[in-house]
Amino acid sequence: MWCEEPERSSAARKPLCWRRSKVAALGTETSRGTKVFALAGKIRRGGLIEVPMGITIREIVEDIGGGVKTDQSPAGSRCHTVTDNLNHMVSAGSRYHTFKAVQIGGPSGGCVPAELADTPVDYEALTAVGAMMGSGGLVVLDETDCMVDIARYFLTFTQSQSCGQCAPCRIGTRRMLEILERLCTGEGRDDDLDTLEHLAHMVQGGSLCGLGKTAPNPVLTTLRYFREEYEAHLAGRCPAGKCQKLITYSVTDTCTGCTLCAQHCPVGAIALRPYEKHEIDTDKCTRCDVCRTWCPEDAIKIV
Amino acid sequence: MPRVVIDNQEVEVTPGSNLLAAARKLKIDVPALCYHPACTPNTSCMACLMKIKDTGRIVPSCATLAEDGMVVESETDEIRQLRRAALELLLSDHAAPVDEKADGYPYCDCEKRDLCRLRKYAELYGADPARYRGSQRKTERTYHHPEITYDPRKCILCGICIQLAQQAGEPLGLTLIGRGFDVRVDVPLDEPLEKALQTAARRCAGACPTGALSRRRE
Ligand code: SF4
Ligand code: SF4
Ligand code: SF4
Ligand code: SF4
Ligand code: FES
Repeated sequence: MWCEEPERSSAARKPLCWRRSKVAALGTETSRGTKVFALAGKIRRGGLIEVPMGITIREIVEDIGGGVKTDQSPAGSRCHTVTDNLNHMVSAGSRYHTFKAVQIGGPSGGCVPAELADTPVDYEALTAVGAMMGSGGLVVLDETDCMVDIARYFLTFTQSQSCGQCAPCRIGTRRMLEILERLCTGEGRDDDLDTLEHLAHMVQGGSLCGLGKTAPNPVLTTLRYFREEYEAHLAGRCPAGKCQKLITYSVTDTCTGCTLCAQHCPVGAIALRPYEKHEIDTDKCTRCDVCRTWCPEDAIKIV
Repeated sequence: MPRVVIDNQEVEVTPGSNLLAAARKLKIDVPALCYHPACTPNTSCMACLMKIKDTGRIVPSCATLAEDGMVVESETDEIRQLRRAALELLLSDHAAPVDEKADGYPYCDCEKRDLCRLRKYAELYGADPARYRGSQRKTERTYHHPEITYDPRKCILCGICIQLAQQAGEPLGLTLIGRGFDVRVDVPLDEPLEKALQTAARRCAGACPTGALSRRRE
């Protein structure tokens, strides 16, 4: 547990009376005690954490989680597999990422952008930024996460959980999901963003139970803080390079012709050309991302 | 006798009345599609919403008891917008053709169109059937019955027929099958409709708020 106790055992394991006295002293005026979160996503140290109420999102991500995860290119950690005449040395390729947002509160929670990372984790402050404590999910997102895709992902879950009793949730969440799916595949229509936003408010206000009332949260918060990403999707671009239908892979001039990408492309979209700049056949390419993770020169870009 | 205020008008109702009844006493026409006096509230259409002023909560008026001193909003922009959205969402998964508005609004091909409450309120609220148009429920079965017709693509899942069949003591009756977007009103165990509604068919068809269940013409 993250508090001043000298011994490092969890408060959860202490007798109840000890917990009551110690834990109630933690937290803020209106949100007392501690809260357990499942810290996940692009975070160096994920897992279950128990934090005092009032701690900021930044403290959770940076101090407890150790910051945003760095990924190692597979070429850096595995041995080289190119043929003998390719005497190319592979440097350990670490890719650093930037903290973009957190999704707090599980599938019905909201996305809080990095700019608001100093928001304290208490009931009022989270509600004010459009998120909630909810089921205690805390997913860290970096710049490779597409916010439209994130909204689609969470709504897919809540939509599948709709019991179907009331019309706003039964049909409304389905329509919202259909719009998000359109946006992620480049088939968005001009009025989709306005329709989506209006519909989200209607489902929030008109549904019978908490599921329908909170299901629009991921959509509303991403629209609020990342509207330009939605607009980019409408224009056929995915700025995070995530939505497969909206991106193409290409090789830049930093390619040294090491052939690793060509060797690992599962569909043979890259012809093997030692020491020459490689090229991707975009018709064959399935946007699986394998070549980019193998490239030791970071020469494969998503546009 | 409890007294409530709806849209600044005070009204006295019999104890145990709901807000919908109170509004009707004031001659406010609320689009209560899934409410039937003989049934427990189905709270399915959410087109009868009202706002309780002091808590700010938006509630289905058919299922909310009128308590003494309540102050309620009904015909405000906010509430009417939510009701219209509920109607538009129902129409977005409805079999009425939306492109042709030749025969009224929305264009309806039902025998029962003059009685249909979905059509009536869609018109009153200016609900656009095309606004949220999207995928449609799957309907595989066709239904035969000597007295009534059933078109599941026009069903708004209000649940009234299910309750009435049960009250009539139908041994088989109707039920909701599936969940979420694909939930449908159907006969249990894939039995024929004739078997499900042996005595209650005409009553169900009369109470159905849309053209989903309607009486066969002689
Ligand atoms: S809001 Fe609740 S009652 Fe209405 S369909 Fe969704 S889960 Fe069911
Ligand atoms: S993204 Fe996948 S399919 Fe496309 S070129 Fe790279 S490895 Fe091949
Ligand atoms: S059920 Fe009502 S709204 Fe639907 S087509 Fe028939 S008359 Fe029109
Ligand atoms: S068939 Fe009619 S009464 Fe039965 S649930 Fe559907 S709309 Fe309601
Ligand atoms: S009549 Fe109240 S929810 Fe349908």
